[in-house]
Amino acid sequence: MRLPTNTDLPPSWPAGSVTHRVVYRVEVGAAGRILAELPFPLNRRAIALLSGDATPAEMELLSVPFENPEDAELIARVREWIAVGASAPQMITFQGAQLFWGAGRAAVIAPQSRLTALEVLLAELAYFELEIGAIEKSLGGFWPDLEADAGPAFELDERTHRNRKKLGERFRQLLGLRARLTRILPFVQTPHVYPPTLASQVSERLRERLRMEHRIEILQQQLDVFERIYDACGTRVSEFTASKKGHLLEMIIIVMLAAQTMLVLFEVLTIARN
Amino acid sequence: MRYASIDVLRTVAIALMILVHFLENLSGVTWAPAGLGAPLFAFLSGLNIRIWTLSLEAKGITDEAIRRIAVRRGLFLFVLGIAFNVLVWLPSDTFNWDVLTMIGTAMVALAFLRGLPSGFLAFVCAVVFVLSPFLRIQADYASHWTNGYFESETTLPDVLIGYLSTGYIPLFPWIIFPIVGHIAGSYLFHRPTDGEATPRSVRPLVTYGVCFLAISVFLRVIRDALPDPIPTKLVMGWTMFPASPEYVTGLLGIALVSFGILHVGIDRRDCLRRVPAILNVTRTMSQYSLTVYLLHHILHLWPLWIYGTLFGTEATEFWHSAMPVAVSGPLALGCFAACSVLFRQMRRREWPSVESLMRWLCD
Repeated sequence: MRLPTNTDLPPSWPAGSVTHRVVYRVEVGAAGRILAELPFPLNRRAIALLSGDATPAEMELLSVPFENPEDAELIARVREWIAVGASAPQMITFQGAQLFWGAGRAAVIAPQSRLTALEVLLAELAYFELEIGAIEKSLGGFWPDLEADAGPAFELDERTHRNRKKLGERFRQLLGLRARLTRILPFVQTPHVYPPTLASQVSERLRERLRMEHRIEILQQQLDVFERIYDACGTRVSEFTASKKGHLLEMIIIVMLAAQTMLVLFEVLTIARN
Repeated sequence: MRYASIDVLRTVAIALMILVHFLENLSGVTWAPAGLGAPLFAFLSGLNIRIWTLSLEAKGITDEAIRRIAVRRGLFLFVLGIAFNVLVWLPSDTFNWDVLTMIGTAMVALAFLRGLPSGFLAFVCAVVFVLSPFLRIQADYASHWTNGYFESETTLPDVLIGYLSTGYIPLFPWIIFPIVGHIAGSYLFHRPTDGEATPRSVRPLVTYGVCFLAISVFLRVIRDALPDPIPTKLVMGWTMFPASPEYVTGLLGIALVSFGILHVGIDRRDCLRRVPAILNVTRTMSQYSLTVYLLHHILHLWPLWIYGTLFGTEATEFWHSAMPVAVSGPLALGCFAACSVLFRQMRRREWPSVESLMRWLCD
């Protein structure tokens, strides 16, 4: 049974058409129904928010049950819906189903019998797309820091050593991004499923259209560079800290020797004075 | 970054200094708080070095450049101190080692030591503190202080001994004050990059200050019970010349406690916001503290020397006996008021001062 979701579509849409405002949560919230269980170990559920829930959606999904998915007028309307904010929405026609992909929005026109499987597929793919996008954005923000931190990877000075907490924090954030990427990797770079299903084939095509594998490869290369630099920074910081402790001990000895020298100097000066 | 608490504390030190110098040099009266000004000045100079270097770091100036500027400023103060002795205290007192030469040396030292952990700097202070009385014994301190003031020959041993141990403000133990000031500043004022959003509590500073005061009182109390020669050579009672262990610990305590309390009251709780006139005066006097130091000496010593030259047998004949306290006291207050007005005008019109000369030469 379908719980009511957003019903803001005008009656001119085919009967049963619905938009889902989707969020991804570890636990099910009070208001919403589970649209899809993301595979282990993602440990997330795609939740379709109930109408009236003001929680900001992470993606919107338009689901249109229609026996003739190639209806030109309907396709035009769906394209219009999906094009909000997207410059060039993607469209796939496969075995009687029409799938659309835009920025933060996806839509499917398919016979009722196939609709649920495709909704689940789109919800899953949207999660991967969101994750990749978030990692790309976070990593993009690291570039100015990377340029500043490339020097300390080779040689550390006192001022950089004082910033070691920040260096460590960036390294931890990068490891977090790497972990997020690695977690979705088995699902994005999965080999072809045999025997193929409608969902698996559509998934492969959409991933290809969205260049997910290529983007992940780029992200991995970028993360390698970041990790290499911050790993070297960590080594330099450790070496610097160790040498600083050693220097401190030496300086304490020097101060003691200086004190002794001062006493001797005073003795000499006093003798010279007298 | 200016801290009103530092301005207030420095203005108090300036006011005390002017009053004490006028009373002592013109009337020969040694007033009880005579020893407060110089240690406060020295402590605040160390604190200021920390704040100043932080501001330079925030502008992106490298450590090496900061070190160079600090060394230049330190040398400037040292040379200014020698020139001041020659011109104000007359050439016979060229090497009497006053507060400027000590602060200049401390600035050079801190230029190299400032990156080191505070614990290490505290260790250096402890070594200086312990060593100082023994150096005085070794140098036979009393033989440098005949007639109640410092006198030395212009020979290398005398000059060096005076600089290090027996002068008015020698390095041992006076360098402790700027270093402790720097340690207090390092604890309280940190870099934005250090990632500490909330200001640190001043409680440890006040606690250390109270501990120093307790040590001072303890040394004073047990002094009479100690066997000879400790009371005569090491724990000598509350004396500024030489700076005895009681005096040093007591003044460190006063400086730390008063700064801690004023920092909370004025900088954090903004207690003086309703009296902007006070803040205006303290800021002006603090901003021109070096100029005030030089000017008030010139204002009261040069007329004294000129009068002595014209109407006495030598320039210093009327030193300590020129006028009664009833005249020198009001003159000191008048000098403070005149300086306050003058420096407000100087600030408004951006007239050059000794501070601006130092910046122009050294920065």
